[in-house]
Amino acid sequence: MTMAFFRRNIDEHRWVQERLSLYLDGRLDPDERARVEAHLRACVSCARSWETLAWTVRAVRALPRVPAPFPLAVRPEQVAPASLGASTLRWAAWAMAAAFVLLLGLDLIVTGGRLAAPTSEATPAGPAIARQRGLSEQAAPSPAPLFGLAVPEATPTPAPMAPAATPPPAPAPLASPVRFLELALLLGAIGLLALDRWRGRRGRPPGLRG
Amino acid sequence: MTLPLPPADESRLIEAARSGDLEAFNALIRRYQDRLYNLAYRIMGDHDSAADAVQEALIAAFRGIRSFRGGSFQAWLARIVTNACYDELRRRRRRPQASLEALFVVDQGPEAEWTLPPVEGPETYVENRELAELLHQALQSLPEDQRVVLVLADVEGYSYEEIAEILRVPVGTVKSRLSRARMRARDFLLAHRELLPGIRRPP
Repeated sequence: MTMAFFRRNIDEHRWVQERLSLYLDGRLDPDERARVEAHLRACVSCARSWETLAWTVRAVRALPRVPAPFPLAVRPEQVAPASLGASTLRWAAWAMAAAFVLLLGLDLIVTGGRLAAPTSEATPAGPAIARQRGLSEQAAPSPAPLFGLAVPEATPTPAPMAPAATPPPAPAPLASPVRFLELALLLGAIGLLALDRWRGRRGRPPGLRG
Repeated sequence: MTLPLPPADESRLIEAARSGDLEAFNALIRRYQDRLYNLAYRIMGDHDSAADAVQEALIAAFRGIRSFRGGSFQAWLARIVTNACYDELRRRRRRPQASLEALFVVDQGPEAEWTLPPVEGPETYVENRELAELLHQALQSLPEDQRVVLVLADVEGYSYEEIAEILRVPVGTVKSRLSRARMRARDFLLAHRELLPGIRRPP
């Protein structure tokens, strides 16, 4: 019985102590405020704690403001080169990454998703298109088809300027430079991002973290 | 003493600063410079560190002004200054001799006069300087997180919600840190009550 009384009393002291700061700022709801005030009226120790705490906060709030000892300003040389360099670097990295994704996507579409397969260039399509449009074979400059959409005819007439009669092209003659470009873009983007992060860790001013 | 800018002027300067106008940015900073410096000084504890932190913060603020999404520009600046102070404190921990200097060098900063009434005569002024010095020491005795919250709340007068926004922590964290900070500062003053002039001793 007595122990329970003391424990309840200690709990009440602690409960009040933990709320004195909020009480001081008027941030307790009416019930809590009434409970704190009732306790402060009855408990000399907590009342003393409250007085000294309120005194301290009043004193801190009255601390004089220390003015800047010199006019604060940012000089042009402190911001111009670094900010330009950093943003340019980041833009370049993301542009390269975007170009890589775009190129890879096109590459996969063209090769039908087979990264190692030869590209079907459909070389006889050039004269086929020319014929379909009613142009003479002499006038047609035998353009290489861009997307390989034209269907080769069953009996293609031999065209002097187009290698229509030649056997199928060697495996992936155009893929290698494209793949090389993709790899270069990917490595470039990764390299620029790494450089940006490294520069950021070294030289980025504080304050812009989340 | 600086006066707050009319909102329209401030918006115009912010817009100019966002497009890279450094003069406009510096014009904004001039309005807040004493508050920003005081914030850094009370967190850092000495003028050299405060000046370093504020300067870093202003450069960061100019570079990052495009990330300012409206609201209180002053609170946005306070957040950047506070983060710069945290960074500076971290650097100081890596260079322990700097903190020793800060402990032993008596600060001769431009303390303004004590503003608690009544302020009359040189004796009162000396008393007040003593109290201001002791309060400053009390702030420095606090753990960093508690000191920052106490400075933002009771020195700079920000609300719980503003502090939560500045520090990106929940309001409940602000409340508990502030409560502990005030208790601790009170205990520091009580432990050094013999240094306080009689008239201003804690009751």
